[in-house]
Parts: sequence; C-alpha cells; structure tokens
Amino acid sequence: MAIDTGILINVGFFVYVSIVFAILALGFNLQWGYSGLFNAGIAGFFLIGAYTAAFAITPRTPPSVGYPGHLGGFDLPLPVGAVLAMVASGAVAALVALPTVRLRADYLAIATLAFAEVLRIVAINLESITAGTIGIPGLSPPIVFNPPNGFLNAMVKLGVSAAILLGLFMTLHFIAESPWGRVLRAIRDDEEATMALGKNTFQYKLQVFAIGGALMGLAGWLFAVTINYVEPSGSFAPTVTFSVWVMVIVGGAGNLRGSIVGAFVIYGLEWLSVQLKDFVPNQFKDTVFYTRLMIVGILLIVLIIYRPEGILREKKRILR
Amino acid sequence: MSPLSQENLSSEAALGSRWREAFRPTPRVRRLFFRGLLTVAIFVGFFASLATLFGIAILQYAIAGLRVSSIVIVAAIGLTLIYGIRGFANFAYGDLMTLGAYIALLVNLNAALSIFWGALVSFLVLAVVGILLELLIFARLEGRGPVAPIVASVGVGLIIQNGIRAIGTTQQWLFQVPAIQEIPIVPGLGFHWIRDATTLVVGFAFMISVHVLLTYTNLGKAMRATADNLELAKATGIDTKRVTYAAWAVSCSFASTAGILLGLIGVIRPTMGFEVLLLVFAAVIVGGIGSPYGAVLGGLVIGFSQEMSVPVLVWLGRPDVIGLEHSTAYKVAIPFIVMIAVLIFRPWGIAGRPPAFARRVFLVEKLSEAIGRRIRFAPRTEGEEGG
Amino acid sequence: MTEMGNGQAILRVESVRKSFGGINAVDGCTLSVNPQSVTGLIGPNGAGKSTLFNLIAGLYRPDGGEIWFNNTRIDGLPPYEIVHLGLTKTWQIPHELRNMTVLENLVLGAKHNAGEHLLNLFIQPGKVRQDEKSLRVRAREVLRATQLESLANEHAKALSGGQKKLLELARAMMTEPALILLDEPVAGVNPTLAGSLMDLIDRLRRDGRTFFLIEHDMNVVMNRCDRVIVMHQGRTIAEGTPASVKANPTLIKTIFGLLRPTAGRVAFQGEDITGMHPRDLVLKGLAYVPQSNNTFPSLTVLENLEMGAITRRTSPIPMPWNRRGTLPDRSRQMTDAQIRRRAIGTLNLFPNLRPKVRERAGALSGGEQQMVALAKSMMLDPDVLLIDEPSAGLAPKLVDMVFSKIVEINGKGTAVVMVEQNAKKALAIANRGYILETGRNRFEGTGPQLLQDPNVAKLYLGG
Repeated sequence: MAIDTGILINVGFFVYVSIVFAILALGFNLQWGYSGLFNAGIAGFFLIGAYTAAFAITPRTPPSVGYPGHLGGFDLPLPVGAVLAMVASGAVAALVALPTVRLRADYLAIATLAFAEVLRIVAINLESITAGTIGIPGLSPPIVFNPPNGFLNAMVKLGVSAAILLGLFMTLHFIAESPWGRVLRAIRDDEEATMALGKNTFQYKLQVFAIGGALMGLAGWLFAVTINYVEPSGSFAPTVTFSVWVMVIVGGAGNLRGSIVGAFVIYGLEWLSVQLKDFVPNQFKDTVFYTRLMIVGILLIVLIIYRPEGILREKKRILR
Repeated sequence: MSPLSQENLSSEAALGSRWREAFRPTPRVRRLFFRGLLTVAIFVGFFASLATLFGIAILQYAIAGLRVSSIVIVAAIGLTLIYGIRGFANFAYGDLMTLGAYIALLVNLNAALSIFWGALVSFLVLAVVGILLELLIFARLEGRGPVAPIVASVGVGLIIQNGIRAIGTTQQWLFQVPAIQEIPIVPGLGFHWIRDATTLVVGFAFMISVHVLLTYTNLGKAMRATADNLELAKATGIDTKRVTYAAWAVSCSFASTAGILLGLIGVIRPTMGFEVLLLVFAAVIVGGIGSPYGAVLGGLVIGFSQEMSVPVLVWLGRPDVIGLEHSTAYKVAIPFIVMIAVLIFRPWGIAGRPPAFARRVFLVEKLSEAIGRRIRFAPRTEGEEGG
Repeated sequence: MTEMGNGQAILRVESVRKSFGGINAVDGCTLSVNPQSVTGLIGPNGAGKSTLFNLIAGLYRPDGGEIWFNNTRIDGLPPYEIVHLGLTKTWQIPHELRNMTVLENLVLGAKHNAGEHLLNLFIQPGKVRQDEKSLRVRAREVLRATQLESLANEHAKALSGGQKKLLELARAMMTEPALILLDEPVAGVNPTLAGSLMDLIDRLRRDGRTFFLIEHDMNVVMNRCDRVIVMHQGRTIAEGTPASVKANPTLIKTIFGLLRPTAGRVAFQGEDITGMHPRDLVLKGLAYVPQSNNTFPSLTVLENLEMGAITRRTSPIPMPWNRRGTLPDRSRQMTDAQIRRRAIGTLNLFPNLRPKVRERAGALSGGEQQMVALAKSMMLDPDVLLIDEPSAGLAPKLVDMVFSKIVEINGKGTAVVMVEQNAKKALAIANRGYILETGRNRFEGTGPQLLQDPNVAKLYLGG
C-alpha cells in the first residue's frame, strides 16, 4: 500500500509539473508560434508569477533568526493569488513589450533574456523582499488535510492543475483560432503586409505579449502552489526558458495541442532522469542529469534543422 | 596603348607621389584621430577628477573596469564577426568560452605545461570547433531567418555546458600559474601582474591584431566585404564560403582566449561563460552589431559601467542612504540597463549607422499609437467640404 | 492648408522627398491622380516608383512634402490608418501570407471584423460569428471574380507566381478601397491571365474605383490607362494620355547567376553556365556590375578596387588551399603590390575619385559610387562585362563620362553587355542593340541601324 501510493504520488508530481510547463509552453506558443515574437525571458515572467503568488498567499512571516522575512504575507485565498500573479506578469510583459516588440527577433531575444536575468539577480539579492536564496516556504496546498495525507494532497493538486489546463486550453483555442488569432498568424507571416491590410500590428503584438506573460505568471503561481516553495536560483534559470523552447518546437509552433504534448514529453525526460538516479551507481548520478540537458540541446539542433515545423505540424485552417 | 595597362603608369617617381596622395590623411582619418584623442582625454580627465575627489583608491575600480573591458572586448569582437557575416546572435558563445578555458586547463594541469601553451592549444582547437560548427550545423540553416540559428546555438551551448558537467567537473578549478602578490601602489590600490597586466596586454594585442587582419589582409577585407553585401561579394568573386569558415575559426579562437582570461581573473566552472554571455551581447549591441570597432567601444562602455558602478552601489548600500542589501551584486545588472537603453533609443548602436531602409519609428509615436492618441501625426483635414 | 492642386484629384503628391543613405530615391515628386481613372506610372528601374508607392501607403515616412488623399493629409500616418481611409496597395513581389489559406488571406483584408478585437470575442460573440460569416461570403465572391475560387483552401505559398498576383489584387479588393496602388500587376503573369486581370480592373473602375499602377508592359500602359505619368530620378518628368507620352519602358533583367533562370540555357564560350555559382562565372571571365548596391559601403574606395581583383590574386605565401579558386592561367595572376598599383592606376582614370581613395564607399554620392563600381569591374580585364543601367541616377555630365569609360573598357578587348534606359546614348556607342519587351526580343540590330529605324525611334527614342 505504502509503495503504491509512493509511486502514484511521484507520477502525480510528474503530471502537475508537466502541466506547469505546458502552461509556459502555451504562453510561449502564443507569442512565438502564433505571432513570431521570440521571447527568451520566459523564466522572468514565470518568476514574477511565482513570487507574486508567494507574497499574496503565504501567511505573515516576520523576519526571525536565520530568516530575513519577505514582502507581503497577506494570507489571501489561492484564486486571488492566481489573478494577482497573472495581472502582475501580464502588466510587466506589456511594459517590456512596449519598447522591444518592434525590434528584430534576435534583439528581442537578447533584450528579454537580459530582462529575465536582471530579475533573477534582484530576486537573489533583495533579501528583505524575496528572502534571497533561502526562498519563501509555506505556500499552502489547495486543500489542507488533517492528518497530512501525501496521496490525497498530490491527487488534489493534480486535479486542480488538470482542470486549469483544460480550461486554459479551451479558452486559448477559442481566442487563437478566432479572427483575432488569424491576425496574429498574419503578423508572423508578414508584418508589413498585415499592416497594409489595415491592422494595427503593434497593438496586436502588445496584446499577445501581455497575454503570454500573464499565462507564464499563472504557471508561476501553479508552480509555487504545487511545490509549496519558491526559490530564485534554480527554478527560474535560463534553462527553464530553453526547455520551453524545445517543448514548443517539438510540439510544433502554432499548434496548441502540440505544446502540451511537448511539455509532457520533455519534462518526462527530466522526470525519468531523476527516477533513473536510483538505479545508477553513485558516481554516474550527476551524469544522468546532465545527459538529459545534453539531449535537450541535441533535440533543439536536430529538430530545427530537420523538422522545424515540429512533430505535430500546424494544421491548415479550412474555412467554410 | 591603352591607359589601363600597368606599363603605362608613368615613372616610379610619379607613382610615389600618387602613393603619397593615396595615403594622405583624408578628413575622415583626421576626424577619427581627433575623436580618439578626445576620448582618451575625456577618460584621463574623468579619472583624474575622480581621484582628486574621492582619493586615489577609487582608481582600483578603473583598473577593474579596464580588466573586464579587455575580456569583454576580445569576446565581443569574436561574437560580432559571426553576427556580421552570418547574421545571427550566437548564444553558444559563452559556452565556447568555457570550452576554451577547460581545454587550456586540461593542458595546464594534465600536461603540466604553462598556461601559455594551454592557451595556444585551446586557440587552435576552438578554431577547428568553429569550422565544424558551421560545417555541421549552421551552414544548413542559411537563409532561415535569425531565430533558427539562435535556437540551434542554444542547443550547442547546452551540449557544451552539460557535456563538461557530465564528464565530471562540476567543481571549480584554477589555472596553475605562478603565485605572485599584488603590487600595492597606495593602500586600496594595487596592481596584479597576472590578473591585470595579462588581461590588458592580451586584450590590447587582440584588438590590434583584429585591426591588422581587417585592414591589411585580403582575408580581412573579404570578411568586411562579405558582411557588407553577401550577394555582391559572391558576384565579385570572393569565396564567401571560405570567408565564412575563416570567420568562424577567428570567432571561436577569440572565444577561447576570452574564456582563458576569464579563468585567470576568477575561477573555472561550467557556467563561467554563460554568465558573461549577456555582458558580451550588451557590448556588441551597444557598439552596433557587426562592427568590430563598435565592439571595442561597446566593451569599454560595458566594462566600465559595470565596474565603476560599484562605488555608487556601495554608497547606495549604506544604511543612511537607502540601505540596499547586497548592493554590489547589482553591478552585473548595470550593463543590461545600458543595453536596453541603447536598444530603445539607438538600436543600431552608439557607433553604428542607422540602416538605410529602417523605417524609423520612435518610441514616443509608438506609445501614442498604443494609447490611441496621436501626438505628432494627427490626421489633418481640409475644411468640412474640402476642395 | 494649401492652395495647390485641383480639388477633384483623389490623390495629390506634392514635392515628396525620400532619401536612403545619401541616394535620393524620391526627389521632390509632384503628381495627382483623378478619381475613377486608371493611371499608369512608368519610368526606368530605380526611378523611385516603388518607393513612391511605399511612401503613399505609409510604409515609409517621407523626408519632406505632402500627400493628400481625398482631402485628408496622409503623409506620416501609419499604414493601417491609411487603409481605413480607403487607400491600399499591392506589391511587385507578392506579399502573400504564406502559411495561411487563400480564403484566410482574403478574409484578413476586411476592414471591419468584430472578431479581430479580442474583447468582442467575449462581449459580442453573435456579432463576431455574423461578421465572419458575411465576410467569408464576400471573400468567395471576390475569389469568383478573380478566378481563384478553386484554390480557396490552398496554402498561399502553394500558388504560382501569377496566382499570387491575383491573390494580392483580390485581397486588396477586400479592404473596399477607393484607390488601389498596383505595383506591376501583370509582371510574371501569363498573357491570358494578364488579360482577364486587366479586364477585372476595367470592371472595377467602372464600379467607381481608382487605380494607380506601376507597369512596364507597354501594351497595358498604352491600351488600359487613361493617363500616364513618367518618373525619372525621383521626379515626374512627363504626364498625359498614353498616346502623348512616349517614353522608354525597356526593362531587362540580367542573366547573371544572382537570378537563376527557371527555364532555358545560357551559354558562354560554348559552355552551359545556367545557374552556375557567380564566383565561377567571375573566374571564367564574366564580370558583373549590378545597378544598385554595387559597392561595399564599409570598405574604402581603394579596398573596393582591390576586392575587384581578388580572383587574380596570388598569395605571397603559397598555401595549398589558396590554389582553389585562382585563375587557371598563371600569367594573369597578380601579387598584392601589383593589384594595389593597378588599383591606383585605374583610379587615375577617375579624377574625381582620387581625393577620396581612403574614404568609405558608403559615404560617397550615388554618382561616385557608380564610378567606384565601374572602376572595380575594370580591375579584372574580363572577357565579358555585364553592366546593369550604368547611367541610372546620374547627372547628364556624369553619364557622358561613364559611357566614355565603357568605350575605353571595350577598347581593351572586353565585350560589354549593358542594360540601359538611355537608348540614344547607349545605341550611339553600341555595336549591337537588342530591345526587349516583356522578356522577348522586340528589335535587334547594330547600334546605328536601330538609331535610324523609324519604329524604334517612334517608340523608344522620343520621336
């Protein structure tokens, strides 16, 4: 019995972290896959969402010995935290987009990557607000069981994140496959032509960048709530951004379902590498982990050369 | 006899005068010379006034700025060469620097040879790596826009960085160099032969050598021509493929040297290069993408803005000012702020020229469009009925 | 605002200027277009026609001057607002939205579609559906009129060049424009399709729309336009009815390797060189001076010339890899010093360049850059030299000088093939002339023969 739930808890963990990545991938797909805005600062918007959630949701934690304390501690309900995370990330994304979305794809990538790195530096060093590398613990799960029950806890998280993903997917599908989404794809194909067809392309780019940022913020909230802990150095490193790229490229740019599949496949690879650790000799434990990241690198190169449209191609939209 | 043949070029003496005429400093050369003098004068004046105002110890930050600048300059020149010729941002560049440092380390520790030999081996190996990268990966992505090669280069970076980790060296290493002490000048201001002098000398030497390469060799001129106009370069008969391979070799061997210098002033670890990648990008963008001379200027701006911000940040960290914790840690954020400012107001760089066909749309107009107000270009309508 | 122009004109362009990097693409252009007309805009390559269209449509911002559309001043307005006022344009090279279907391309052209505003999707779903439905019906009607109906659900990238041109026009129609700027609507379209396209334009004009088109096809210009405006060097130099305007609309695309032919064969000294790499062509003795962008802007004048001889350079240090790509004939190789001496000698033929040998070519004027390009091509003694419109954008005095240089080059034993609008001057120095129209030979003969041919004189030499 104990072993059974252990495996299930583990699988549950895999599923809800995959869902966090799936939401990140959906946000990035909206920005890049649909509109051609190449965002390299995914980790930054993810971070804003996670920290906003942590500030809003956690109970008040005054500084104590060995803990510098952090901003907020408003003890707000989880859904309010989600809304705040989305608003904060979306607003910052819009601000970042104002000067940068008109830049060429490579400039945009460098500028957003720099933005995310600055945020991470701030999160690490501004201890009185973020608690620095110690991080913010104590984000309560959706339902607190008494006595604590790991299995039920994992299943509740799984259920909540699955419901969120389903809702998001349906909403995004609705807006991305609407006339609005069609304008986005037109911008990706040829911005000048789209402008000459009477569309204010700048406004669309601003909107989609903000919506994508808000989605990443939501992913940050979900991540903080499911892991119950926020810390800056590992969770929001640029490798998160790169992993999301692979997920979207594997799934196919401009294909929302593909992004979800890609997230499960690529995060599955990481999860497997962690599971494998128990079966390899000690001296190779790290090797397994780093080999995973090398595989991500190889996948990026091979896919971009041989199958840039992704494993699941973007579908042709037949209008009746 | 046709006026074109070489025999018809009149006497040697006349030729000599023509030569003199060809090398007579033109207004542009004179302008450049005076601008250079002015820059140096501004720098000297700036630091002299700093030293008189805050004491001579403040020059420690200037030395640190020079040190960081020279490393960033070497890296930025290498990065900008490929940016100019292949038209994409090489995100693997930081990890190529790491690779260079590790190869030198291997020679330095295992073969117990001086770091000089390590640097030489690493220089050559990285040149080959660069050629292989173009051959195996980036040549296949030609004409696919800027995003595809960026993605591929991130892949290359991940492979290098994690390959180094997987082989088992996640720990930090130091080069085996003679242990020497810092030479104190005044309390708080010292000079270290390896850390300071080496980086400065190597940085300067690479700057000069790239200038010689680009101005006095046919390969260098062909590189500039290819970066200017690929189609015309082909039509002129320049072997653009060979030029591209050469640019990769130069770019990656510069990465190796920059990585080794980075290892000399700090420690060697798998993320060392990636951590400075953005600094190098910042230098390239600030100076104007594709221009090696811009990279030098950008490197100076970035290196100095990072290191000279330290005393300011220290001041900000004082409890009686704003009491910013770990305030000096923010010095790495300063270059990005400079870079983003340049991207917004002068995307073609402070030394670059605006592209001929850029549709210049300024932030103010864009903002006004976004909020739906027209600040400068309101539609003006002739009377009610018109003509 | 201003007293100028007649009130009936639907479009008025008043002394509009635009320059790119020292070259004045549009230089004080003034013209007007009457409503419900088909007005042709003709002129040599590089006269600034396409730039003018981009200025009118708001894709470029003019450096000076005014543009009025239906009594609204539109210069400086963003392109999407200009479209909403009822002015739209098509491109010479189709800008189809590649990864979208033909029908999607068309529906996007509609000015008012509730669903294109994010909030409407949630607030007025009924209106969104209704708009979308009626737009699709309208798009299908337009497709029927343009004979693209069978392709409605194909990706735009799958269309042929001619079909893409039709798609451009169809999409422009969806914006319900009062004035349509067409950039070479029938270039690359087969004659049958071109005919029906022009019939369509006629029909639409009768419905009250105005067309302003750039065209090189003299049939279209002569038979379909009410008025013709001739542009040269960024200004209008003539206008009137087609019969009254006699200009030289010759356009020849170069056969050089930069543009790969889709069919046919190009032979050089008996060898098939179709689609060969440009560098190999240079090695075979075929040099080429493009019409624009023909110098390396960041290289100095001297360096530009040195690059011109790079295929003949021997390395001071013999390296095995330096063998590849040098001329097979060792006697024609030059050392670096010889190349430099030759460069200086060549520059002596261009006295106005001599004080500027160490200047960046990009900083020179358009005429000086043309000189540099010519000098660069003279570094090689090629067997054949292809020159694309050497006189484009040059003042008359400079044109004479360029032509005399070309005669000098020819005197050295180089065969010169040049594409030129200035037919009178070109034919005066040419051994043979070919006059091309829509890609086929129209007239052929020796220079003097052509100069005296009454037909040629009437059509191309201004009577």
